Amino acid sequence: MMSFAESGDYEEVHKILDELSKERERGLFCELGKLTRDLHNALANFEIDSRMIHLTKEDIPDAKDRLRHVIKMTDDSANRTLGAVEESMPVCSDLRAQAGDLDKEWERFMRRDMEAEEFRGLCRKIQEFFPAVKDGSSKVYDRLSTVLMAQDFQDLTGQILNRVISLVEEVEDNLVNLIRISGKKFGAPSQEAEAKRGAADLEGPQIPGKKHPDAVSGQDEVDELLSSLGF
Amino acid sequence: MDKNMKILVVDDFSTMRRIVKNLLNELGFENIEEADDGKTALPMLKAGNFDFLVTDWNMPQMHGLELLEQIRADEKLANLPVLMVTAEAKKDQIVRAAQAGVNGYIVKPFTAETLKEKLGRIFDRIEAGA
Repeated sequence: MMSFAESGDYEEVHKILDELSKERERGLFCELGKLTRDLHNALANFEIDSRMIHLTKEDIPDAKDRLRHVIKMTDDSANRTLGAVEESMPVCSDLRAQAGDLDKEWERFMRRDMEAEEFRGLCRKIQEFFPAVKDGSSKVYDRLSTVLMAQDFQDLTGQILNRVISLVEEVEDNLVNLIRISGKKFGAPSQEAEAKRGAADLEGPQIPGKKHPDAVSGQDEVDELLSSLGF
Repeated sequence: MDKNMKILVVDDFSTMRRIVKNLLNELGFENIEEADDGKTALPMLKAGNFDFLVTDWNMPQMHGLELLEQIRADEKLANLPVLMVTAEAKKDQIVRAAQAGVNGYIVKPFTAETLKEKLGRIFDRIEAGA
């Protein structure tokens, strides 16, 4: 080709160039054809058909509904418990106050520091106190039963969450297969992207064993950090 | 500490609001109102002569840090004491809240004792400063 170029025979040069690029394209098409075949075989071997479709169309939306139900159950349980506690507390503080008053007056009576008329008043109060304790304690007892029963969510949500975990595991396996077959290598996220994510996102509660390296391990560490800042 | 002071409790979860409200009741505070987001809390604060704010951080529309920043930028609310009660536990977040002018920071899950102690500290400091 160089000699044709040097002698000025450009027609020959073009001919050779055409042949070269044809050769290259043929190679490229061959390679592309091979890749297409590979991909086809891979997809055929991979059980992408019914199971994957079922996963995306049925199982995942179903899992979302289940998780929403878990939120609802824990919410209901917390509200039932809180309701029972809120109803019990005034009963207890009322009985505590009555018992405190009676205790003081009884002590005075024992010291003989009490007029007969006042003593009759004390007797009346004691007489009223017994049924108040009886009613109050059965009311609190009922509320405690409610609190007890409100804990049934743990069993039910636990079962639902276990099913969702197995679904996530199945999806994970399928994704790992897909990545393996497609042979694509995914690089780790860049440090920059990672830093950006860390600054902008709210993490929510720390999970045992998954603690963020920058997270404090409890209120004591928060207090230490704040006092180091002059709080 | 004035037991009649008006307190606003802001959290997007109603159960957490109930828990905080009950704990405050137990400490003798009865004058308590609730809001479910920074966005609903801010107009309440602007309109309502509140003496104290307890707020979560992670909320859907306006989060607690933004609420805090808006409060500090508002002439009338700038000195309102703010206690943050949140699951956000990263050090840089705590530092950010401190820089934004939070008066106390409690990480969830927390105890009644912690709430009592932080509340006491905040008002001791305010009274010492006043």
